[in-house]
Amino acid sequence: MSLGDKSVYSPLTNLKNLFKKPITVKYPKEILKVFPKDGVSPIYRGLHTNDLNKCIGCGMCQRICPFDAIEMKVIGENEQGRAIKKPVVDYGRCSFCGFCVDVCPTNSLKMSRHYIYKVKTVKSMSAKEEVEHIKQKFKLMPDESLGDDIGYNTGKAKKILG
Amino acid sequence: MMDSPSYMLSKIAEKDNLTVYELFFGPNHPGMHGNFGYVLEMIGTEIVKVRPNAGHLHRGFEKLMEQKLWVQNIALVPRICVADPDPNEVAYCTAIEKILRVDIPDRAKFLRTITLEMSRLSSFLMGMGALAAAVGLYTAMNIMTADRDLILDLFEWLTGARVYHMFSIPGGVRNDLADGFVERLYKVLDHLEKRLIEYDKLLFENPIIHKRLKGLGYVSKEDAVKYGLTGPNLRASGNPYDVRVDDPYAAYPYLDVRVITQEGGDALTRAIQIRLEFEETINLIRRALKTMPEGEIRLNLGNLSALKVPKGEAYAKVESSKGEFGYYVVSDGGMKPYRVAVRGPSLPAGLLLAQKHLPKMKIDDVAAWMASLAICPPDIDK
Amino acid sequence: MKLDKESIIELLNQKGVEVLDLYPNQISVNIKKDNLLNHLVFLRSIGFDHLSFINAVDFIDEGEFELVYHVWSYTHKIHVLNKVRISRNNPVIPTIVNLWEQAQFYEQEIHEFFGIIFEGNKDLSPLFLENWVDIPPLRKDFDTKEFSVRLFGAEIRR
Repeated sequence: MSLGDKSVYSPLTNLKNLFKKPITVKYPKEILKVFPKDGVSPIYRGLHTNDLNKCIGCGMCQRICPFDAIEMKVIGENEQGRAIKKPVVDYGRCSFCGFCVDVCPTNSLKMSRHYIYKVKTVKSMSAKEEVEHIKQKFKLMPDESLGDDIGYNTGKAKKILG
Repeated sequence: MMDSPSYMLSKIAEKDNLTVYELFFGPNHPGMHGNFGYVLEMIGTEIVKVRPNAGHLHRGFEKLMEQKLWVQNIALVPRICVADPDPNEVAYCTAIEKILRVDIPDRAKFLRTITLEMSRLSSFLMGMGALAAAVGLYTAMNIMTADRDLILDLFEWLTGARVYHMFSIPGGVRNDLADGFVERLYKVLDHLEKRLIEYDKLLFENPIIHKRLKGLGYVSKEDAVKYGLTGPNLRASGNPYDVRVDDPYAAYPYLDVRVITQEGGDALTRAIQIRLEFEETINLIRRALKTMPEGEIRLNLGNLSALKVPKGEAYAKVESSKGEFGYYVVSDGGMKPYRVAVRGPSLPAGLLLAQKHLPKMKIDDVAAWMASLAICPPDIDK
Repeated sequence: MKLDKESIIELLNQKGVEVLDLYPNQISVNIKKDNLLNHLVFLRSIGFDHLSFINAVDFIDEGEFELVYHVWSYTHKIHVLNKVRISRNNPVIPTIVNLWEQAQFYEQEIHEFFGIIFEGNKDLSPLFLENWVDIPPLRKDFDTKEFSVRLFGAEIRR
């Protein structure tokens, strides 16, 4: 390796970078086209989506969740008087591992390619109230609203867990 | 009380001619990567004594893993090393498979190998970038970080997540390759190979790095083995040892892994070692892609959420970008591990070598010394 | 000279230690506490030069700690798990710092997390935990949930 034998003009080579396109993009106006679909990966593990008609409320997702992020919430009673339960995901705890999707026996629980979620806070709130407010707002019951853009899901053919 | 700033100041004032003072190098220091610290006793800019200040990142993984199901721990183990998460998953799964005495399908082995090597590439890019930043060559760091993103994109496509992939599970892997993935991987590898010329210009042939790193932190051939160094650090001292060859796991028995060694043993040699291994890793991925067989990607182990591992114990090791990552798993035949112990590769370098090397070193060399040894504090703390 | 697994097992058997053939490239050896240093010195003399790891396992039902000294040979390509059982009530074991210097930090860590005392180790100061007054946390009788309720007032679900 030879050192220090660079040409006097070598600083001028930097000039060519002046006319190059920048490596960065103006997100969110532009996005990088990396995957066959626009945006994130086709099997991205994002926010959950759940077909509430298909979900039988078995609680498998709650049992497998490594971080205790899923809670089964009672939303009503059926004709026999038994409670109907649906999963509620606490995104403050969720690690997006996707084991709940793998384990779902009816394939109703899936992960979408949406990953942006915002919570508005009120300025007049005290710090403690704000924490409590955000805590509650981060608990979502997945439904069909994000179902337009399915990401990670395990079809019947390639069941991983269960 | 003991560690409060006022106490520190009083201590400095006590020795008011400022001959010996204590300096907290990290956790909040620009030269420190990770939540780790050395308490340096210094005279002027020269270090006299060093005391490691670990534990800022201790998250109690080993205790946590005893309380979770076998498969739940897959979501936990990659967090032990952020830059290089896949060796953790593979080592943990391999240990379980050893106790179960099962052999996973060949395609799963190759998929694991490819993720491991991609993870090695991304970790090397981060490591080289850290080294560049430690000596003030920020352009190299920026370029390497940008290139690392291409590999993270590939990971996102393959596994569904960018950083914590949770890709390996006991018995195989979770996904097969998507259509078009292999072509894109080849493209990225070609790109990185072209970029190597630029890295050379910016970093490895740069007079600054040669002047700064030459002779810094010398480890002799015998000492490297004696102190328990592994990985590139060991090979840069002239020892041709690699876990991928010596104790092969995943698909490495089917691949021709070339072990690169260099004589030298100083920080500059270690930096060039990483660069040479980076090139070799690119070729290894190409070879793996060429020889990858078709077939199943997962062995049916029944319901994994109710997996029971028979009584026994196993130690599984994986060659990560920093050295030997080992998992010692003990099972009592139940649904949860009885004990999981993690061997991080950075401990001998980060704690023992610090006591050998840092005294008599100048303060401005500490960051470069750390980066050259690829010390990753999270696996010291666990 | 490279020895294969069988001849190493035979060598160790001649020394009178109990050897278990676990996996390809991995054997497990049960040794007595008094024999530990002699055994490790012998292993080192026949080419087991890399101490990769020391860890402890708490077998609370049997009232014992098990220390595992992981030794790897670059010449023979064999990994040996050297297991020593010591009583839980009197957890004392000789240090091996004089053999391998990096053992210092593994021993410090084990002392911190299991409360095992390494006789002869000069520095067993805490490495990771700060102001820890409870029982060593990686022991099986340390209840993390009770601890977090007591210290942080955490709510435990289920």
